[in-house]
Amino acid sequence: MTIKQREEFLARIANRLGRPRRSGVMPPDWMVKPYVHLHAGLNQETLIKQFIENLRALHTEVLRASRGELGKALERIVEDSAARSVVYWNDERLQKIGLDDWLTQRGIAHQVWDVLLDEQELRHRAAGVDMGIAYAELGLSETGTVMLWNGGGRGRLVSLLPPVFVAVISENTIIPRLTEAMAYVRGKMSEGLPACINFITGPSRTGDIEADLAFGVHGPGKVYVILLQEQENIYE
Amino acid sequence: MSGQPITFFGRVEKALGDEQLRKAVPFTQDRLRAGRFQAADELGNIEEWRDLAAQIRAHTLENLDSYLEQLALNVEKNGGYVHFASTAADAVNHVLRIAQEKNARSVVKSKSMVSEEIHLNKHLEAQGLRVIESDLGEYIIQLAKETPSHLIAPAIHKTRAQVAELFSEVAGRALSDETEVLCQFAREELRREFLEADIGISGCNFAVAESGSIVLISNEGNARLTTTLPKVHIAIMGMERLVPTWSELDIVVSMLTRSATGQKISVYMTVMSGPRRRGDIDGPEEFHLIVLDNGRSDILGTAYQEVLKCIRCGACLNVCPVYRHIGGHAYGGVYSGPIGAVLTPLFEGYEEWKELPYSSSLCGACTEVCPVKIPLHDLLIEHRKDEVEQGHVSWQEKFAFKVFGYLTSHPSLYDKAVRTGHVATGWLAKEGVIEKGPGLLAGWTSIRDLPRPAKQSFREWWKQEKEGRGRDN
Repeated sequence: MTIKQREEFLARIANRLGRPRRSGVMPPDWMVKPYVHLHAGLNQETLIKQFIENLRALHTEVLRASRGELGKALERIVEDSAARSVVYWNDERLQKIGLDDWLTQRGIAHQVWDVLLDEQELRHRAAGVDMGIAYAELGLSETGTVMLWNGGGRGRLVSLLPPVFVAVISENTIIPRLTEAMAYVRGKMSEGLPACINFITGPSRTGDIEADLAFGVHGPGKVYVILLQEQENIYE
Repeated sequence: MSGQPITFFGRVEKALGDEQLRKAVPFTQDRLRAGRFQAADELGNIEEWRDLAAQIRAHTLENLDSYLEQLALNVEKNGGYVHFASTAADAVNHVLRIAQEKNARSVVKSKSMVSEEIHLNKHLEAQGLRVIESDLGEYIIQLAKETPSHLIAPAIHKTRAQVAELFSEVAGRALSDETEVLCQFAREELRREFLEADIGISGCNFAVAESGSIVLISNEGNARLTTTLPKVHIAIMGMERLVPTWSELDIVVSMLTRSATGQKISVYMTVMSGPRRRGDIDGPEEFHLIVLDNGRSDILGTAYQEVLKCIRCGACLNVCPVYRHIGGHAYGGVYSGPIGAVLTPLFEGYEEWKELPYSSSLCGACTEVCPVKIPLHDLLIEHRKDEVEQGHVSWQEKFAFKVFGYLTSHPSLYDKAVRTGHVATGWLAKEGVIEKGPGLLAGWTSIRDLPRPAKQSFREWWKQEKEGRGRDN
């Protein structure tokens, strides 16, 4: 594509709009903010509860756990899903909660997303294991969405290829809705965005056969979220 | 393609004879429409959302050259390539050239209306490439050699038995017609294709100018596989499908999923900003964005400009009484329903498509639900005017009654038309009386109020009465 061709394409648009070519336009400050009332006055605990409810409605189990209770939560997921093998992000937040040690002790075959490994081999592994585990950047209360900031050891296939996906997330990072997530992304733009950001809301689903709801046609058919409590269990 | 009749009336006739279609279309419409209305209710201020979404889309169109330029620069900054395609042929040639350069043998696709618009599969296959549609509905109709019958649910016209038959043929063994079995088969079969494909081709729900990103909305996850596994990803976008910044993305995505299915958000929203970065070991190594004009710039600066605000949610299909009767195929073009009736004649001219602007009762339900406030039924009237002025139709009213009369002349259809009328006019009616009727009703209601059609038609009532009496005896 030459610059000339591009300029012709854009000039045609300006011409059709009946004005000279424009460059560097910025959007106006939209005065209407129709989302504000949806979450006005909700405290963090209410946002968390709403996040959990929304995910439950989408057949996704949310396990609230203190850092000390992580093993218990994982045990429950492994039992429920009958997962025997795991691929997971190379992410210090997962290391810090001792995921690696737990998997080793529990005798579950596991593979970290190590970028120094052979790409084909890693892909093959990810396609063959039962479960993928990643650490979510943000959780969106209004929808029950987790946001994954992929890149390097945070491989995007981890949340995509295995039939079961587990997202670990800190309850401090539950935000009201997409609006705050977009602001977060914009705040990171100057550092450069990763090649892929995923917003994931429950299991892969389809209604393409006689509108009959079915899970897991392409992505994981089963999703769990581990919600990490940041202080000792103050709510129960 | 399994031969669709070439005339509008022929296609309508065929649709009316298709029992599965006649059952599936109203069922799908009701399901999606109910979802949309519940989602709108939950927001509590849907009009404010629609106003803002409409303003955002209008602003983007008014400054399209500037935002496209910004988008292109940022995609390149992210390490991707941008190709501007003035025509369908240009876009196809870009894809073919890339495929040739890569020595590609197979292409996996995720649902993209734009690729349907440029008949991409046909051209790729003519070059000996293997093309696989990966959206479950698209995969089904690809195997059946048919075209989508609904924007959001492309295979609603196929029964599970038909799907089982199609899949069994691929499997080489008999599969049962249980949803689980069929989905599991599709997962395994398509997963193999994904892992082997050389190129992934996707559409683009929205591009974000400020970061050079493209956004894909899906529930199945096939769009993620398409854009992650193959070494090369090509995204094709209609040139109007972009937003200035992530702030506007918030609003249009919030409207898109709610209007399409009633979901507050889709299962996957994937935002890609160029090819994999240094240090990534998954994701495509090469990213191409094809920006397609193909008649869109001709619409700019005309009375029809607002149709370019469309975000392809399909809400207008789900409330349309005419779509309800005839389904998507009868419209003949790539886009069906009210949006198709407006778009297709603009893209392809009146000669072959003069009936489309008349295949509407002008009840205005489409305009009422459009999340970006496209005045769809006004644009249909505009078309009718232009058709008369350009001599495609001799006398507007006469032609209107010919088409609409045809659509409602079938006895079985009459029943449905009356019952749908009740639902469709619900938006217009206040306390059971329609004060202001659009379109064909306008002349009538300018001098008198029209009673809202009864919930039960006389024929329904009569049938029920008769059956009731039968039981009593």
